[in-house]
Amino acid sequence: MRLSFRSLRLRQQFDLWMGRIGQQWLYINAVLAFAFLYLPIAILIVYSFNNSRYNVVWRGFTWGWYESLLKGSDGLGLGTQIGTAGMGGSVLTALQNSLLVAGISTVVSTIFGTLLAIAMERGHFRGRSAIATLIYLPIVMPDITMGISLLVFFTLCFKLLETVTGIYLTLGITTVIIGHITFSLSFVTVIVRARLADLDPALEEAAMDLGANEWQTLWGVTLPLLWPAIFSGALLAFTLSLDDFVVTFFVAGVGSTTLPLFVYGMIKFSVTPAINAISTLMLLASMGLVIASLASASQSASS
Amino acid sequence: MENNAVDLIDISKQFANSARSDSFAVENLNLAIAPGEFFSLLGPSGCGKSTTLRMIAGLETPTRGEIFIYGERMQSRPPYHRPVNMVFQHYALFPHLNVLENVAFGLEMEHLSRSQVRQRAMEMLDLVKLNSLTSRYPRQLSGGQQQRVALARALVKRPRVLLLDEPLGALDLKLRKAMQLELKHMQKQLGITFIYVTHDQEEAMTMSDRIGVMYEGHLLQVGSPFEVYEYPATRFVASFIGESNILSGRVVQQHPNVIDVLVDEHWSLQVSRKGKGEPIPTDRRVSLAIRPEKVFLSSVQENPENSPCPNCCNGTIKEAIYLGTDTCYLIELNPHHQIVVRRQNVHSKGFHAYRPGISVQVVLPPESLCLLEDRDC
Repeated sequence: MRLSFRSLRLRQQFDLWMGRIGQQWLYINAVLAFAFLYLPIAILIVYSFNNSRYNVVWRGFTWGWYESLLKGSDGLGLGTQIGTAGMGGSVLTALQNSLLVAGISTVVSTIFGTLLAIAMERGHFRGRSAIATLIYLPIVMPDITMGISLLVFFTLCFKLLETVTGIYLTLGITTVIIGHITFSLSFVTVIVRARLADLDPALEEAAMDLGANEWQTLWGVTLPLLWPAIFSGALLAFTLSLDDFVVTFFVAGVGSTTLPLFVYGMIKFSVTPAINAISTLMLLASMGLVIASLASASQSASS
Repeated sequence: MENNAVDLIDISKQFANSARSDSFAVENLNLAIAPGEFFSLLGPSGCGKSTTLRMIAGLETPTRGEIFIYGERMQSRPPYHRPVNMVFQHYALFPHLNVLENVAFGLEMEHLSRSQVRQRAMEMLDLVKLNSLTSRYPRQLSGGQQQRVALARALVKRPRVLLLDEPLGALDLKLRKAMQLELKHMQKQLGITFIYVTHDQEEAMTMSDRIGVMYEGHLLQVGSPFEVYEYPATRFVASFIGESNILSGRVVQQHPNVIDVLVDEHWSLQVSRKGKGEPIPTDRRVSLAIRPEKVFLSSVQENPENSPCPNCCNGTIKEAIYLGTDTCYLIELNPHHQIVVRRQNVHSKGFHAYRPGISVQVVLPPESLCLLEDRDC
């Protein structure tokens, strides 16, 4: 009896210590994981303020790289570095392209994605479950597969068009936009559909019972309740489009360089803090959009 | 048929994607509901009562059969073109609209002028006593208030038939009782036909002019609360509405006024012949139902040399449960049969009348016994 009591005490003591050690380790593990994830990004941001042409040595703090980007001037002589006249100008062109592509692809994919989600969740037609599975495919498909398949598709289309009508088309901003719509569409559909699945179908039935036809029900009840999810989907589509490199790389042509493509082009010449500055700005923009998207989604979930 | 508010003619509903593909949610249902009637569809969950209501509303399409509302054929007419409105089980209030907008929603679909919409919505909110909460949103309302908004939203459309799908299910008991009376009062005042779906037999008894009892997609019996309680048509009705003691037996002999039913080898009971219904042939297996409060109890000593009394037997009190208004006794008549008997607690000391273990004399009056043909339910 006495022995078992003592061993119980020992056991408890042991468990207590193990628990404490476990907690410490959990904490250390979390710190390491976060360091692994965010240290490179932190370094990127810090060196964007480096008063040097090279990334390796710290030569003091400066806003110079940001100023030169925003002013669109040569700034610290990058123009000669890269071999283009007015590097800032081409940054702005790339930004303009990026915003144009993101804007149009977001609007189009949001409209069609929402309609697709409604069709899949509320419609009764053949092959509904097949479409539901297929819509996930672009999300899991490797970007490179998508990029190559789009390139092959566009080339084929252009060739066909040329032989039939004689009109000659090349890759450009339009093909980039179409490519971005292809992958954004899936994300919008998935987000809107999740919200729609949570929506009590009795609400729409109540609207119809009260005399609203299908269109009036859509505009009066379904869409107002879906807005947060639609907005969230649109923000995600915008972010994805702004950040996309791989798909854009395959389907872009002359004059349709987006910001990620431009950064890639710069790296070919030299890794200067200007790249860090652009990357930092893109990071901030993306983070802002993602946070807004999450906030909107959680608001839609709670209402 | 034009004289009826609602006619359901041989309605069946089979859900395409149900687990048992051969099962019917509703099967061959015939029902006529008179104008201004408060009709309840009563049954356990999954009996098809909600499906029937939804078919009247146009939210489900019958697989077979026809629905007429005030003589008009409703075949393939969408919900928004039917002269009925519905109060949904969980109210289904629009969360993005406030109380006034919720009530006005249906009126705006009728292309009325803005002032008319507002006036009629406000009138209806006055009726349900919510005129002080017009700018609240549904999530800011209590269950009872939400229920009133749902009611106002449906009534403001001035439907010819109001459909209610367990509208009081989510309310607590006190509020539910109050709302039952209020609903009944409102129905009388407005003169609208109400079709009320519930699984609560007491609720159905309180409010209805007539009750339709449903089980497994079939309408077993339609009648006034009195008829359904006093003359249940089937075993299921007898046990679902109120309590019943059910004994199985066999018809052995027919007399002009009574039928002899053999329950046990040595135990036969006389049952009064009720006026209606087809005669039941001799030798048919039947069930006998009797309500616990209709059984007579007396102590054996009180009645030592009793005159020949039909349906008398002796039993032993097994349990006595005090329930406030009455006391419930479980009595063993013989090793195979136990019955439940209720006695009202008229006197404060009444509870101690029969203690467990005491022998009593039990009388099952022939006129209180219901003869039920053995069917599936």
